[in-house]
Amino acid sequence: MIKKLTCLVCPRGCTLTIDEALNVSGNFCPRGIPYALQELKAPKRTLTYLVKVKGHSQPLPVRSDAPIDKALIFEAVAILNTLELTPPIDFNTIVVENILGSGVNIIATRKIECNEDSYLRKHV
Amino acid sequence: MKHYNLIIIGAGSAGIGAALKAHQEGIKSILIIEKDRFVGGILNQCIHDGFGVHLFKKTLTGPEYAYYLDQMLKERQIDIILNSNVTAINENKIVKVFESGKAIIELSADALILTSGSYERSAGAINLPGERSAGIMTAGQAQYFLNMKGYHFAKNVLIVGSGDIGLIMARRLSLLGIKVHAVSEIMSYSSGLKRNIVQCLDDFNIPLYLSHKVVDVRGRPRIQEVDIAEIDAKGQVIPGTLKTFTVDTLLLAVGLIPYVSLAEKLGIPLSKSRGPWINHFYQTSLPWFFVAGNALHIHDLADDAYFEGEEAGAAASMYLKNLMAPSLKKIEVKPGAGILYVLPNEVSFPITYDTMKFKFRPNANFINKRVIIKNGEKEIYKKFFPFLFPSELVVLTVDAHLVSDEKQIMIEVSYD
Repeated sequence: MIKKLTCLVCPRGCTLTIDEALNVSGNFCPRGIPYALQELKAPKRTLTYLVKVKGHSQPLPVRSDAPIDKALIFEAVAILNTLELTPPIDFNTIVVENILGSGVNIIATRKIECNEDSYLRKHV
Repeated sequence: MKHYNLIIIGAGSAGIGAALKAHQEGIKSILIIEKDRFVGGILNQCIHDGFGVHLFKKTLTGPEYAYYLDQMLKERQIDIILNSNVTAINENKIVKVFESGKAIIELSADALILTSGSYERSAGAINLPGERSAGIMTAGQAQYFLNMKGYHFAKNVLIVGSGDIGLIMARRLSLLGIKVHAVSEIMSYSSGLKRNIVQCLDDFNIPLYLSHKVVDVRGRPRIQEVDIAEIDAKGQVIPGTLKTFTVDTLLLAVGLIPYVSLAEKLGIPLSKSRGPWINHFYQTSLPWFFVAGNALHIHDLADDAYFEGEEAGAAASMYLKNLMAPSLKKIEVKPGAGILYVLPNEVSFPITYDTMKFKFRPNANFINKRVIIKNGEKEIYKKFFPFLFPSELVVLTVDAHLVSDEKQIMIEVSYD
């Protein structure tokens, strides 16, 4: 059976066609091929979410450092909902290592200083 | 009064692109003024990934993109004041700043680049019918509350508008366990990226109602019910297609408008993109006042705004170094059949560059059409497009030697 899907690798969104022999066509770049085969086998998505930070109203944005099985997304979110991190947190710090045994880490996507006011940088 | 060669208003991707380029071109004193506490502008609240494919060659989240922009700035010791709002600019190039919420200071500049981004269309802008109760908000506002403030404010949501912002918010809310009942779109197609339809709606089984509009909003003090109905090609409601949703929140993701009040107060005329009228140097009617990014026209990608900032930064540097020949003649660039808007709005002679970029959006979906640029009656450029969508900005690069200063330029979608 021939299957059609939309490539999610980049914003271009190529329409990929996979035939019975698992040949992929319609991809503008080579990244579309492994994506299509993975999507057929077990779809994966990058998870981005927020985690609470002690003493800060602004939560910490986090991401999975690689796409994670789509089926695990809501379980991963449940874990992230229970966390409350203590600043300072550096950019790219691992927040949860190997989440749900998936081999994927959840990492911080911004730097959080101890005090919210310490962002007020000025070089003038 | 402190003086700078170049003042840039807004530290989003366009502003940073402009600053880094001007610095690279040897402009010594540059100041960026940013109203928020961080570099990166709206990128900070866009915690999803998919940014930076062109600039950084990998997919980043908004905060990561902002972090890398900030790193690039820090490496170059470009001055920046954060948490500071520009309240006015006058014709003597004096910039009035409400600095860090403390005092009003005045700065002077030789040139200025406006990269102040855009604002969202509101309930009034789309003539939303029904009550104006609590629970009606724009998608960016909701994104700010959730991602920057950590507020949770909804349980049941209907989203109006299926552009990327609406789709991204549908996923964001769904991950938080908030029920997104549907996305309603007035057009017969979504202007969002296909990948976002798949990963934001299909993944969470959220229905998308195309050719539907809101016909009533009920409930006070908070909204309780929203009715949508299908419309025909003339925009008339089709009887019997009414759908009622019991929701506490109505998110409006219905488009962005360039934020240009600082330019308007100076009497700078605007163009069809709703940003300032510009020549091919990103120069407005005031030669020292440049503009780029979403303040000029709405971009599809943060990378595009960055690159446009770079182009404006390069042009402003030429102006500051007196390398820009005085404009001897100008010709207008007009949007013709099938074109929503085109930039630049005019070409200034001498052109200086070897090639010229024309950026445009079509006003409808087109399949298998040619786009033609005419200089007077003469065709100077044509290109075939299998698809043209209003949601995708097109950039054409034309050999500058082909452009004559005799006649106006017209860009159009050819119907033959």
